[in-house]
Amino acid sequence: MSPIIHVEKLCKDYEVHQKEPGLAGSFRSFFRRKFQIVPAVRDVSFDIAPGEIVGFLGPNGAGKTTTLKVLSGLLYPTSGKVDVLGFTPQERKSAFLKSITMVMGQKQQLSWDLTPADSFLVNQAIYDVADGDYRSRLGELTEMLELQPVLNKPVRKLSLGERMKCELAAALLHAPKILFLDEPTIGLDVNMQQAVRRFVADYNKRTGASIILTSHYMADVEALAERVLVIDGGRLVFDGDLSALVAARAPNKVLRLQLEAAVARERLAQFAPVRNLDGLTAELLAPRGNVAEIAARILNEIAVADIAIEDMPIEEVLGALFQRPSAPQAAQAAS
Amino acid sequence: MKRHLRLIALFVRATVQSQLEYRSGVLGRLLANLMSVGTGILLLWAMFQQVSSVGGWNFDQVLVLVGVVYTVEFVVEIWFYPSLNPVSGYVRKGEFDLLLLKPVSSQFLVTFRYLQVLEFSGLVIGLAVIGIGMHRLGSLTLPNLLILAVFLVVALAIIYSLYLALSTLAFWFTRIEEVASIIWLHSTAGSFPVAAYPGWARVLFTFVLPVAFVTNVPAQAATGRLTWDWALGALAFAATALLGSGWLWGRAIRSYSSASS
Repeated sequence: MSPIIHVEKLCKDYEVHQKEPGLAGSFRSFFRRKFQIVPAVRDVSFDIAPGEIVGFLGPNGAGKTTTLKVLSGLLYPTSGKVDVLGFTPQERKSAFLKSITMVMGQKQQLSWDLTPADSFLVNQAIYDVADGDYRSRLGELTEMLELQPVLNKPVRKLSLGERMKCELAAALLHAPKILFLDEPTIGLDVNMQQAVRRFVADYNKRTGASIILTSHYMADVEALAERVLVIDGGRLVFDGDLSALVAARAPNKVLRLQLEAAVARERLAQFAPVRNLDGLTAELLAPRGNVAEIAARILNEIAVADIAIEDMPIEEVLGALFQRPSAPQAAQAAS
Repeated sequence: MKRHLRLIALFVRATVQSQLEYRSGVLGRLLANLMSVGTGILLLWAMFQQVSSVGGWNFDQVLVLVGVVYTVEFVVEIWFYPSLNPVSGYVRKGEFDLLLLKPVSSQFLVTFRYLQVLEFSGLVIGLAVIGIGMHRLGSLTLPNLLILAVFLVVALAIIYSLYLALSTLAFWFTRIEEVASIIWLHSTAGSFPVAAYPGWARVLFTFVLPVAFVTNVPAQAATGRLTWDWALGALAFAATALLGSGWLWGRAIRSYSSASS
């Protein structure tokens, strides 16, 4: 099958305004601004097939969002070739914009004072969706996302999770072929994160739409994407199967303990390597395979107020993957 | 076209709905409008107790002029200001991304987004002042009203273009609310016949800050004193301004790069 997205040697530079420190510096840069070229994306190439779910992974400022914005036509590439559905994205042709959608966890398109139902009507007109299609899609999305109780409440009265579900519905009424999801679960509680994930997976199965997703949460990408593109410092450093990557490179889970009384580091180390011990808070690194068993032993043998089992933070998995800290310079410039 | 009209209707509906959520103020606004118009006219009347004409315009002619100023001002207040002023905010917060991804011109979307039709009371007052002035002058005829309507639209097109161009600066300078306040100049400088100003100011108020076209020309049209050169000048200025500001908007969009990643 021919790819739906084709990216070849994409580069994107930002011009960043450099401010000198201090008040005098502020005055100086008010009159004469210095700009520095900061590369955000470097020589990135990949293809995405119709119906694929692909996760973009990488530390803050690695270039994930920049790549997404180039693919959706929001940013012009500095150089390289980008083809999405046969279109050049930055021309932003109407037919192109009608076949993609973008959901950004940090930005909302629904009007604060209106009900979701009213905002949906505006989108129906903007995307020129026929009444019949509109009703059937809205019905389907309402059912999948369980929107019925919130459709007629003003958006400002909805919880963050309810709002995100409405944002998803608003973004899908025109039945796009490609979904760009930028941190769609950011700030949501665990239940709501799972609901969003389930919906995205389900939507992909039902419609065959391709989904390109960025997230900070390893769990998002694990649950959804078979294939991941890892971007670090603007470069594509890994393109392939997620499970293999994670199993090989992040063999441990983090056991976070809230102790009831101080316990010696050596005592904790008998269960698993201690990553961190700070007063009554301890973090152990337990191998994926027997994390439950280790947790059970700890609960049996020492007094624990609370216990949590977490994935390694994505930054650390990546840090371990490349055996170096992520470049702070690039991170700052692109964020 | 049909889709655009439907969108405007939806935007108006949405804006009315939002305003009804916070409905206090509609009546207060009406009273404030009446007071400010009343005071303005009283001042004008007091001035004309001392002089018989300003720049060759008598009291009733200036009354029509002031009516035009109020009318234009209220349209700015209920339409251009609420719609275009948030543009710099969209840019700063990166919300512009979502607008750009819509398959409808972003200029259209920002222009018609907040048309606060509920606040039309000021507009009625402005038109009433024009009507009273025209009646006192005996120029309240259908042809005059039609020409007035045309040149009010021309005036609004000019003000809109200017405001759009100023808002466009947000893409380069990010924060422009202060600069945009220049737009209210038409209500101060424009309240007088441009002919009353010294020569250099006349040129300034005609070609640079076009208060002459925005307020004087419609007032002349309403009082049957519009000459061809001014009429054509206003039309040409409006057409150039609309095209120019549209072009600038397009340029700005191209140079836009999101404020945050």
